[in-house]
Amino acid sequence: MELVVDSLKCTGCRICEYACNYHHDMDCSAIGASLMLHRAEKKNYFGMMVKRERNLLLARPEGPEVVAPGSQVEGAGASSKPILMRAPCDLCEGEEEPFCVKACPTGCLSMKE
Amino acid sequence: MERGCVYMGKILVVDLQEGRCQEEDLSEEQIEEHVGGVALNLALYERFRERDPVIVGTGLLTGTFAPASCAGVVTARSPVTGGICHVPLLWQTAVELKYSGYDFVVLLGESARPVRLWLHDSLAELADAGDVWGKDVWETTDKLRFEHGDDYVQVLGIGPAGERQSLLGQLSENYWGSRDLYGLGALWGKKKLKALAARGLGSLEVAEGFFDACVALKDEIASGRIRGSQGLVPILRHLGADAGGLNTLEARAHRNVASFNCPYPYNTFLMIDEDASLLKESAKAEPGLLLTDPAGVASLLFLGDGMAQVLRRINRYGLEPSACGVLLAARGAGSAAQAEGALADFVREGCSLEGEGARHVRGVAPWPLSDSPESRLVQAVSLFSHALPPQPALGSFEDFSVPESPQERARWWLERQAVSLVLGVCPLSALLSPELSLERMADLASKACQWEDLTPEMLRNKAWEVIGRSASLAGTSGKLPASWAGPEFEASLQGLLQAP
Repeated sequence: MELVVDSLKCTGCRICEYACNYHHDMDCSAIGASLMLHRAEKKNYFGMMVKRERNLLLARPEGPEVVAPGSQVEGAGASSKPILMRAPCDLCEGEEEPFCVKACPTGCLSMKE
Repeated sequence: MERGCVYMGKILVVDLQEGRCQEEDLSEEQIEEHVGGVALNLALYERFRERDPVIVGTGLLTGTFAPASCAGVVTARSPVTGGICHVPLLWQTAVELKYSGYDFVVLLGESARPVRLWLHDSLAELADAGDVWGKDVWETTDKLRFEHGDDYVQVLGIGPAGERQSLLGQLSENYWGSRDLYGLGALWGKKKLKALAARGLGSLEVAEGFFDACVALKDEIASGRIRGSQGLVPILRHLGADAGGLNTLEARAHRNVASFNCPYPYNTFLMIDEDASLLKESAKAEPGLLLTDPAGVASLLFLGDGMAQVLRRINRYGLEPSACGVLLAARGAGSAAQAEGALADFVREGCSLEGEGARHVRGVAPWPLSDSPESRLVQAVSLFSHALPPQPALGSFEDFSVPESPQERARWWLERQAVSLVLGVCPLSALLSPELSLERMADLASKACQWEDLTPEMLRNKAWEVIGRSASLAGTSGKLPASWAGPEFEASLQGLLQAP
């Protein structure tokens, strides 16, 4: 199973970050989440970044991209750096469904085989 | 579990005159008595009222899993109406404020020189604002984000209009307009406070079961009245805005954007200098603007395709869009070029609707899309922002089980605003989704911190206490439109303010 991000359904509400953190730390925060919204606010450009075991998924609106740790990524500002220090997504191991999928109001996040 | 677990536990008192920041603990007793948000704002306002305070506060549920928990509220005496006003913050500002370590910020007195406040990691810094004073809203936000090294820094600030203490000056949230129709930008200008910037990396404890209850309500909301709709256009269409203007706007609409944790993304980005279908990141630094304010957009639709360009200028100056729409129409500015010229005059001249002889309600721009009896009543009260529709934003009063009488409808609106702003739930979402009922909001608040006697009745009482006390503090000076006046209207208004 893997987490799929349909970026065009994302509305940038950020609750997935807080839901993910709740799985990791059982509190309400975004600092330990394995996924993170990247937003260039003045350009209305936004998409999700998901830290995975071996790589980083950049779910850009124009299409997803998978990058290896240490790669140079265009367009990621200073706010994007913390994702590299986070724990990788474990698909909320032990739960029926990942918390980010449960919390997303638009169906932007889902699971597939 | 303590009542205050969903708060960070700190009130910041900033004496602008002395240039000093002082922290106070937010006590369990304060939360027990006031719950939070606008009710605690009002208590803090009353405590410091001799020093013309501005209170920036967060609700009990702000920044939590509760659907639509984006809201904060600014309470102050409006330089426009002369009365107390409660202006909702509905973007990301209130969430970052809470997670920065401060649940409430009290701003007292006036600084002798321009200053700005930076809140992060439970630290408060009051710094010289000479580097941003004179800059517009966009330049200020860019500068502060660059300086603090983080694009997630949220900025509540003013532009040139506020600096010049224009009554059309509004508080801006980052680059965009807010729901401030009450001239709070002018008040910040008087205090020489250019901006409050916040970045939050804190965390809150929530009770077991709260997350699942929030997800269940979110699912009901998402499959309820809002299903299949997105953005500002369906709202404005439902409310009766000009179809031609909306078609023009729709042609420029880019992606819709949600405020923090809001199931309905009511903010719509307009591309001005780019193709609206662009998915890649624009190479242009400032290709458009985010529409955040239904009243402001509706007031400017008469400008047709020039509306977006004019509203971008309004946002940069930190002007209030609804009032600008009224004044531009009154001055006969039919093109974008004429309008942009007139806007520079508004900033320079510090004009007001009253001074210009334009239509207003206690000095504030009227809700542009309806003149119904209930909309007149809620505007005449002038406590909350009528940048938000004075009625359900997508459905009907029947969807919300509200009786037909104008007074009952106005009462429902006021109560919904007050309850939302006590809890930190988005008051626009509360006008969009019947599922976000008083009972469900109370249930979530109770579950968040295992507060069993936080009931719908208690919240309702708290809401009416806020409304009654705010109105009694008012001394509101502005006039009502002559066509509204009369003994019958006055009687309805007085009856409206009595607690049910």
